Amino acid sequence: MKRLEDIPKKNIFQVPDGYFDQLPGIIQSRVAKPAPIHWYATPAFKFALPLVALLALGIYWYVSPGKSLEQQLAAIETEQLMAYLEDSDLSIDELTESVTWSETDLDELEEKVYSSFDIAEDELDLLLQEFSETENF
Amino acid sequence: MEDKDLLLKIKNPDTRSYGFNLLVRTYQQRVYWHVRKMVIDHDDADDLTQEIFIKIHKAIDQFREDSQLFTWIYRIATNECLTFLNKKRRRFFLPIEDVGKELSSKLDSAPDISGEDIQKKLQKALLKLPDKQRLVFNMKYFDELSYEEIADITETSVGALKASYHHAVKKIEDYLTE
Repeated sequence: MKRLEDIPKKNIFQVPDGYFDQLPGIIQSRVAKPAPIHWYATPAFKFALPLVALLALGIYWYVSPGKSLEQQLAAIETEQLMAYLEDSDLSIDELTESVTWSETDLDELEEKVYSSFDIAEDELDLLLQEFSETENF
Repeated sequence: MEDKDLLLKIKNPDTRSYGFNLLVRTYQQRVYWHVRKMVIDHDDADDLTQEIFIKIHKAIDQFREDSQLFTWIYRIATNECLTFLNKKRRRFFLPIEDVGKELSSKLDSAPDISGEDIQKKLQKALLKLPDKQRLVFNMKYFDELSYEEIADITETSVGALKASYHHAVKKIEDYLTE
């Protein structure tokens, strides 16, 4: 039986010459070095990314094949559009001014507005009479 | 220089760099040899030693002086060694024995390993032990640390360490007799 204590204790590993003289300097330089900045964390990239994204979006909207701006707008749900307009600061007057109404649009609009006035003829006469009396007064 | 003075120098912003340099000079050999015996290869040991001191530099402000500085450093080195060996195993999907075989073949082929056959055979026997048992054996046999110090480093009980060491010795002697 071979006993452990019979084996002389000896370090069989070696290091390159001067290794322990150089190691503290290597470690010191690594410790002193600031953490590397990744390319995606540079300030230039941080600012450039939203700009590039906006530009890409703009180009897409502009050159989007087979779809006009009107078609793309028409694809938006009415509820979404209304919700957006309600949240925006635009007044009704500003909205009305910004739209170019076609003849058909105007006819449709009038029809919608007047159809809501479902007043009987005698009621209308009464209202007109009241109105004229007030005016005279 | 005493550990206490070293730590005072590191904690003072004006002498921090100088103090840390002194700490590296004081402990570099103990850390390196502790690591080298575990990973066998010089390049791996060199990388790990640097990483260990960088970790020490980052964590030195959290060091509480309720344990000795060198046991704290040994604990970091020990953890790094175990992490390195586990990663090596996972990276190449190797079982424990195959990592042992790979390291064992380095003992024969590496130009920076010398020594008599019996000492190489001892190292090969050590490579047959589980990593943690090998660490305990190295600290007790080569570094001549007390069981109390090893218990502090490994956060294990002295009784468990004694059992582990004697078990390791038995396995090594069996291997040497083959």
